[in-house]
Amino acid sequence: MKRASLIAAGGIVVLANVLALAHAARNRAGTDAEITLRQREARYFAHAASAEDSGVSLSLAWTDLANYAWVAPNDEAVNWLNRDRLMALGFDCSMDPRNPDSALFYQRQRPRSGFVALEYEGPAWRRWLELEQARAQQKGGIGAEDVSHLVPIDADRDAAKLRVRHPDRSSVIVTPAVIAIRTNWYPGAKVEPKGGWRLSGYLQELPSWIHVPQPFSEAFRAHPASYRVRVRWGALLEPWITGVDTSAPPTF
Amino acid sequence: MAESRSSAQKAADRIRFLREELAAPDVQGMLALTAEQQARFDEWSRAQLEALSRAYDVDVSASQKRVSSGMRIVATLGGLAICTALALFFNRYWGYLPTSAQVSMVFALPLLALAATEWVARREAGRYFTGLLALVAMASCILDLAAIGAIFNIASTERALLAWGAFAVAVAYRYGLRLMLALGLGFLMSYASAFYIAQLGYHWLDFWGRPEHFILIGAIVFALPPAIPHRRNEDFPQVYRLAGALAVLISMLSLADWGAASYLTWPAATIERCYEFGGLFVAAGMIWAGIVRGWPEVVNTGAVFFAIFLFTRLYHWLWDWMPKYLFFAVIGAMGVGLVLVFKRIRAGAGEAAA
Repeated sequence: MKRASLIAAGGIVVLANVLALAHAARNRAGTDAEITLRQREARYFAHAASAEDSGVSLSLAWTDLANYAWVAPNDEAVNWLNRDRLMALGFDCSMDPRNPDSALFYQRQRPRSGFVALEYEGPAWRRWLELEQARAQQKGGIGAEDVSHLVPIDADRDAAKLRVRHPDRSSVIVTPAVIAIRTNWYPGAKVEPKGGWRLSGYLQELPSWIHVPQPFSEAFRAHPASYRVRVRWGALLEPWITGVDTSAPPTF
Repeated sequence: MAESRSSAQKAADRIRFLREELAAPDVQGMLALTAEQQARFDEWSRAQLEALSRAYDVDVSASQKRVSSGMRIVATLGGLAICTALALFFNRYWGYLPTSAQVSMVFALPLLALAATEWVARREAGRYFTGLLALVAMASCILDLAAIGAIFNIASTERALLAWGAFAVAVAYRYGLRLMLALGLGFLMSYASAFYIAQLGYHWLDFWGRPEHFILIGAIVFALPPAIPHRRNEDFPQVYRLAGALAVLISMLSLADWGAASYLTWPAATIERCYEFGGLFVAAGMIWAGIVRGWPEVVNTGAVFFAIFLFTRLYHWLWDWMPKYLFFAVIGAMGVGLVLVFKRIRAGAGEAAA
């Protein structure tokens, strides 16, 4: 019996590794999307690199149009994560916002797991530029240089349905996400907020860190001024880097 | 001969107490052992203690016991320091290695640490270095799956908790290590909650977001010992009860503080009051059950949480309208009252034993 627990302990380590490696192999056996990203989308935080951590990782950055709800509250692209999509993700959106308990009802709903479609340099990005230009005319200082051109446009509980709706694998990534619900009113609010009662969602978490393996990681140790990375998302929607080019001039 | 180190320690304690009692003048006067009887007893008890010490490295004197406690603490702290060193060393150099070397290294580490633990355990009855190396094996196992996840950008899931929990429990049963069992139960309870949360469509890492899961899971863990024979590890049922009791009471305390995390659809304030009173009753019930069944760890845990729940309730009732000195005077008076109640319970238990 005592020997059985020793064998079990060793077996658990072997089994867990075999399953993890089989998972990685399954992912890399297929391609769901493949895109070349620049440093504004796949960010290397050189200041975070230290002698204590020799690993190199890139952080996936995205631009959420929902942050412009205060500029264009009724814009369709801004309201991409609307009530219908939240319901499709499993959120209970049945309570009328005018109900005094509604804010608490929505605040108590936990974030849900689902999938999100991120579009690269598509119509959603161009809409962001228009909104940003409109904002800059009012307040000045457009800041689009280092803003990610990757914009979330759709979400669903089912990744396959999302891919059917967005079939272009060279410009749309489908990735797992944690999505939370939010309201634009507070508990006890009696007056309708400016722009109306709005129930929306936001991306609370994406698997945003992409490990850079050898030999690609060497290019980052020289802290390149600009770079492009070729990223492939596999059959299980997990990414890996297939190429790095640090010779490209910075282009925004 | 005893079956395990814990039963050997109990046997050694009994012999030591008997020797000390027989050496007391009043007992000697009452029993009036002959010189031959005394010599035979001395010889027998010395031989028994020597045999137990040789086989299980048990403590045969009070001073040895005190030193052993210190050694266990030092071994645990040493183990934690080695785990930290291991993780930092890996972090320092892994980026310079190709993927195949990274994977081979993290895969081999827990197996090597496990082999080292087994090698030491076969040569050491006291379990100090065994415990230290088991902690290193556990840390290596965690590092292994975390690193493979990072290398291949695998989306995190709750399944790693199952692997870590099962590994810790297997190591705990192999070497009779209570700390490893507590770690393993913690991982497995977290896995059960995370699995359920993930099945409902929520993010698995939000598993603590619904503390009510842990009330149910903790109750199950608390009730498990009678269903699992523990002939070799006689001190393991205490760990199950302690882990279960802590899971139940911490969850209730958390809900008493923030009722919005509950599955109940009542107003948050009502839920918080319910869990405050519920926590008081459960803690009191644990004290009672612990006294009746002879579970000191349950009595102590129940008493600590009873005091916390009582303090919380009194804070809500009295803090705003009472002068602060009076508030603390009331708390102090309640403490004195509780000690008196425990004294009565203790006296009752003493009479029953007599």
